[in-house]
Amino acid sequence: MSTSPNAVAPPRSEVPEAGLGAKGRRISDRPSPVQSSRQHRRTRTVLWQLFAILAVLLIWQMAAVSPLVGDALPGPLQVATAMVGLWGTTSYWTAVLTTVKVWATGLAICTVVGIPLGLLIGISLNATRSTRWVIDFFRTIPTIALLPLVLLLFGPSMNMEITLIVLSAVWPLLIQSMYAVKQVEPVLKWVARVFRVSRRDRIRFLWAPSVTLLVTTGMRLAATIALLMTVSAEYIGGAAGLGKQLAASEQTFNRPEVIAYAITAGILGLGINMVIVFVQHRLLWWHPMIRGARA
Amino acid sequence: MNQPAANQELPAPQPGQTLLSVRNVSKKYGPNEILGDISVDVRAGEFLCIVGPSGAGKTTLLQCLSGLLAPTSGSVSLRGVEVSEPPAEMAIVFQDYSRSLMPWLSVLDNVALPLRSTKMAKAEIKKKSTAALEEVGLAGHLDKYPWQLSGGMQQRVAIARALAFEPAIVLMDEPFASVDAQTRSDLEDLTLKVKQHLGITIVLVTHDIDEAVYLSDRVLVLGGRPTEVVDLIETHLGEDRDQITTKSTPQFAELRARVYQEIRRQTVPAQS
Repeated sequence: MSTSPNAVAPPRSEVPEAGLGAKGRRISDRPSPVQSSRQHRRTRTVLWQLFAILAVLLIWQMAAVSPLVGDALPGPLQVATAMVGLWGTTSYWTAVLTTVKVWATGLAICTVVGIPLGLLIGISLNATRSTRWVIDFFRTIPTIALLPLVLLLFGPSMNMEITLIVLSAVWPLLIQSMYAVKQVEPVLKWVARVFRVSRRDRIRFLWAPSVTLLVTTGMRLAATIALLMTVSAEYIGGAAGLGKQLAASEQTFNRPEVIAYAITAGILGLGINMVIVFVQHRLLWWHPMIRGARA
Repeated sequence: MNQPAANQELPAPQPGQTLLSVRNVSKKYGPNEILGDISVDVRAGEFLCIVGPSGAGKTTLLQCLSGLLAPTSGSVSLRGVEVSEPPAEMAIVFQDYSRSLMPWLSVLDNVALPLRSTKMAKAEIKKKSTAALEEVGLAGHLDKYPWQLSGGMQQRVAIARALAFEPAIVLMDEPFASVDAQTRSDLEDLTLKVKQHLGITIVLVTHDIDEAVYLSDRVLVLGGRPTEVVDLIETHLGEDRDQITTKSTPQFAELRARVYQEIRRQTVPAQS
């Protein structure tokens, strides 16, 4: 069984076949041997992923008990215990909810501002050229450096956090949206003109599908940056949420809890990313990159 | 008062009348003069092929004919109305089918898309699109997506889209340049059949001399720098054409040789 050449193929990350589920009909069109070998490969990939997680846990445990680190680093078991303990407290869940709420609000504002603005700037060559320096300038400022200023303006509040999220996460959305507009196939634009397709249908059947790939990529980048910024603003700026809880645990030298909070933030980020990738694959089931064929 | 009610519903063009009139069209890109002074009258119901060497600006000319590109000077008019934007009675089949069809729409939806913007009812749109796809032999592939079809079949979808639009004139820009030889012959014959069946006018741009002679009622030969009309030849090959018998007639060979010489004279400057 395992002597087939597939056995040594590296696990295919990033693009799970699940994306085609949106149009399940096509999966059943495929000859079944191909499908079963795919199934086989997927199980194998999952096994390897589990193995990698186990390996990381093992290395962590070894580092924790080694004399080099002393007792500064709690082991995975200690952290797991702390995590389970936290799950029983309301302060933990309130912190998670607060962080998610602030993150979502910030990201929503980025979306509402960044995507339309990016698309509009992208349509016009003049606007693209004239805004280039301004955009490059603002997006290279490390937003965390603005934290003292924003903190002075708003105090350790949700407004402070949202300001920082927008200042840091709006750029990838804006820039990806700008590029998305420029990627629209010129022949298709001619087709729309020649066949006198109405403006509404052009937006719905030409522009929207054409920009989806880059815009959702921008969403992925923005969502990750927004979460980083939320937790940082809570940690340094003292606004309520996961970051603040983490800082509090740090001050009482409760190291297992510090790491449990950090892991919580990581799980949150992973989950958000998975949701966006899932949506991306649902929307782009037709895309050569996602249906796994060559254009 | 007794005048016929407006010009909105024009009567079907009579065969032989001028449908598309090209008057002294030239096109410059900066100092580069691509098209010189080009004039030709496309007759209703004819199959006109525009043939010329590579880089002669054939595609540029076609874009000027369709209103996608404004000529530097001169004018194009369709039944007396100047063309400045693609007119409703015109459809185009582009060369690159892989880029002219929408991969997110099914074959049927690709063909139906232009009709959605008309006042036509949904059922009617579906009927017309299906009929157009049947006309090009794709009745069994309505729910497929373009990327599930071969190149030749994708180009058939593009042809069906043009037919469903019910134009008086179809412009085709090297439509068979990216398919294999067998598919190419099939598509040529399909195009001839459809043209006869629906009585439309076709202007097709190609660099393939055999294709131009085989398909045409008239061949417009382009050449020179900037590009000008070298010749306009009536083929007199009749209605029924066949890849083997038509191409083996002496008449075909003569026409082919004539166009070939004219094009070669343009590309290889005479040496003294």
